[in-house]
Amino acid sequence: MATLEETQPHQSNVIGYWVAAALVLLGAALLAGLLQRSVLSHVHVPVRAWQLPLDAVESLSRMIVAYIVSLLFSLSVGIYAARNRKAERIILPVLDILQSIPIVSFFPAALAVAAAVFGGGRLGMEFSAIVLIFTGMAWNMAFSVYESLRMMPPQTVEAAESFGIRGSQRFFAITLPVCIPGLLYNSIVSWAAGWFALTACEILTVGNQNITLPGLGSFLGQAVDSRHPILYNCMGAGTLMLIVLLMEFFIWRPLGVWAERFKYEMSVSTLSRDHRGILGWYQKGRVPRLAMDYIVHPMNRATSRFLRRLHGTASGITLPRIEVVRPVVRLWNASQRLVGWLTIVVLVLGGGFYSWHVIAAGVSPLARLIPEAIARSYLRILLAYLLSLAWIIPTVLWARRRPRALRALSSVSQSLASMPPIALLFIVVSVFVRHMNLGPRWGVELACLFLLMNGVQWYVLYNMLGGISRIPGDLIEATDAMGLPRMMKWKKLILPAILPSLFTGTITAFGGGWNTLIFSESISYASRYYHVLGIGWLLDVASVGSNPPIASGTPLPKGESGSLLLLGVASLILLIVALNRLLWKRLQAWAVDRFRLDY
Amino acid sequence: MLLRLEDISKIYQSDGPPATILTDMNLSVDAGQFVCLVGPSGCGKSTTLRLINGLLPPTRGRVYFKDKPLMGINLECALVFQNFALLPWLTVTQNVLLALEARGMPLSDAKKRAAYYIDKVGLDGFEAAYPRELSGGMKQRVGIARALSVEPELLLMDEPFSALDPLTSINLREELLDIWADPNLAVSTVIMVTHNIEEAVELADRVVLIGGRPGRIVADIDIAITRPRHKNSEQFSRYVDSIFSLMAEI
Repeated sequence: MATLEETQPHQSNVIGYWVAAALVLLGAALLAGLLQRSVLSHVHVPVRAWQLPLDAVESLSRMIVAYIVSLLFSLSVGIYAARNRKAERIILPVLDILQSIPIVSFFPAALAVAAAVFGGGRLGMEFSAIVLIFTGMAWNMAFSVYESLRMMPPQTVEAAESFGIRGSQRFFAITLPVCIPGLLYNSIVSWAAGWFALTACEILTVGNQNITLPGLGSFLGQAVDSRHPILYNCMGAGTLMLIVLLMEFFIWRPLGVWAERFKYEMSVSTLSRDHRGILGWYQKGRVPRLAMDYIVHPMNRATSRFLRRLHGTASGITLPRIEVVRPVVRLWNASQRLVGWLTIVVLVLGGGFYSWHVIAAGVSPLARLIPEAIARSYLRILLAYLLSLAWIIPTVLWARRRPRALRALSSVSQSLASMPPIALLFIVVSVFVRHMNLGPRWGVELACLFLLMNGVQWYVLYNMLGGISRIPGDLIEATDAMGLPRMMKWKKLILPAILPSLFTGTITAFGGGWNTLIFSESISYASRYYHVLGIGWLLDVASVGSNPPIASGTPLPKGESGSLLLLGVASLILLIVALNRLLWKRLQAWAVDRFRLDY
Repeated sequence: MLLRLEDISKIYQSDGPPATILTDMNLSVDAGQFVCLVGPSGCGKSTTLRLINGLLPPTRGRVYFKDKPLMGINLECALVFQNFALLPWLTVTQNVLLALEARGMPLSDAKKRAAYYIDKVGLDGFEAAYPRELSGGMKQRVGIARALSVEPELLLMDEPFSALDPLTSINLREELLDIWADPNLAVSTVIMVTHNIEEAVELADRVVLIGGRPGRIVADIDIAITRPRHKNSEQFSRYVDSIFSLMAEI
């Protein structure tokens, strides 16, 4: 069909990626240039056990606000990118890069900006924390909105247009419902990412000052330096686990059942087996019954009511069709283009000036270590990834026929993926560094590897679980009916069927790995600072500015931190974009194309 | 004259070299006619239908509807899709209502009208069902009810029966003819795209054969068989044979 061609997304947009990488980098340079400034007042809250519930509530409300902002952001940006071809060419690469670079390294700089705008008071700090959580949540959600809209059958779009369905009626009856299943899945991932970065968001380091906002993340962060580190740590981690599991049972799973009605699958045979499993469980158990009765059914009723009411009000909302005069259209398009180009020019000039300014301020001798540091870090992530695969593939294959095990694994992967690395420090440090007597170097290396695995493996597991539950039941029946031996069935059906999910998991896992580096290559625990050579450590040193936290090394001269940060991030962006573009995305596209399961 | 296509060309400008789909197309349709557009796949039949509806703008030439040049989407048309294009999260009634509400009809009137057309296509009793609970034939009935309910002057159909099983499509074809002939219903003019020549000869007053690359009108044949038509009559097979041989020459 001819109209298909027009709506098909661009497959190879390589130049767009490099342009976007440059833009993100220049934006980063602007931020890095602001690093040296700003003085803030010091807010410190000592850690106390009785504060824990209050802290949890504060963190939760921060997360909710950041999530709502992310939701609005992802809907508007995703819809804009899906509708506007020119915007799509810039927005997609920018999102992709933001998603895969460790934004944590810009926290101090972003903070300086927020402080300059909102002042150093509590309000400004709260605002910064929310913005920081937002940076961990938003990108993948925006992607999912874009992808859902792109995957929408073209005939549905045509039907909407030919019947004149527009404006808010179109948004609520078509656009939003299409996005809901994808948004839901990505919301779960985003919440995990938000919790993961929570400590970094609530203990804000600006220049040589620590500003602590009361919350679960800062509770965990301060626990390591308190009098009872292990006790407080376990309490904090336990509270976090409790919140994550409660949300899983009372929000995400019921929403998952509800979201089934928005899936674009017409045939029954492709219904995922996982869904049926969860639904069955929800109908039997007592607690789930409550969730069904008080969450899912009312939501379903409310949705139906809303859709009904929408029909009632749509007549009032529908705008009259206006024939726009050609010159006006042309003027509007021209002005849009002008604004776009102006933004790019300002970014390029401003970013270029700042890059020069930052680097001219002095390049730290540490910058020479960057290539080696990146190579070492990459090997560490690779090792962590391979070790994760080594236990995940057998586990997933084992759990394939056990719905209960699948559900348990997905809950576990979600709650452990939410755990900030700092909550694991006490285990890591006491086991690997203190008790195993491996010497200072290898003990820290092992600790780092363990923390990295925690940042990598859950993404792999989560995606593999999704992949395995999407294998159509009729194919499994067919291979059973043919009497295929077990090994052959794995080789011919199951491994090919989960390969696309494996690649998706790999890309997200490496993204998670780069983000975790900064927390795992340098560890500050009980007033001691451990580190191994790697880009995460370098960025940590650079981003906390002139004063590395309790560093054993000499502090960096004032101007050099900005240039180190900029060079480190620039090299990282280059490497990650090149790897993604040249290797992973191609492998993924190949796997999706070769082994997709719709026929 | 209800519809006139004047020197229409359509060129797609995507990443590769520009692809000309249609060239120098001239076509007039009078009110009350049943026209079938036939041709090999990829000849531009569906594109023609979308140009008539205003979903696509022509690269050159103009579409006139009731002697007025068409700007944007023609809301006096309604389109029926090959794959139904129903929203899975809306019930049968809600799917039909959506089109009516888009035209600003008050809810109470819209509900009455939706119920009337749902009944008309034989879906009485399935108003609250969701599309995934319906068979292919029933889904297409919803698609037809949605199109009829806006009471269009021109009904456009894009291979409406090709995703259905043979028996269902025979039934639906007969019902379509009844609807078209029904003086109580507003629809009097139908343009239907199909690749099934027998279907075209059975239904149409006029078969327009599109072919070639780029596509253009190869033949315009009036089907002078009295209704009801019988597939095994000699006259019927003569028409089918002659269209087949025209198509083979393209």
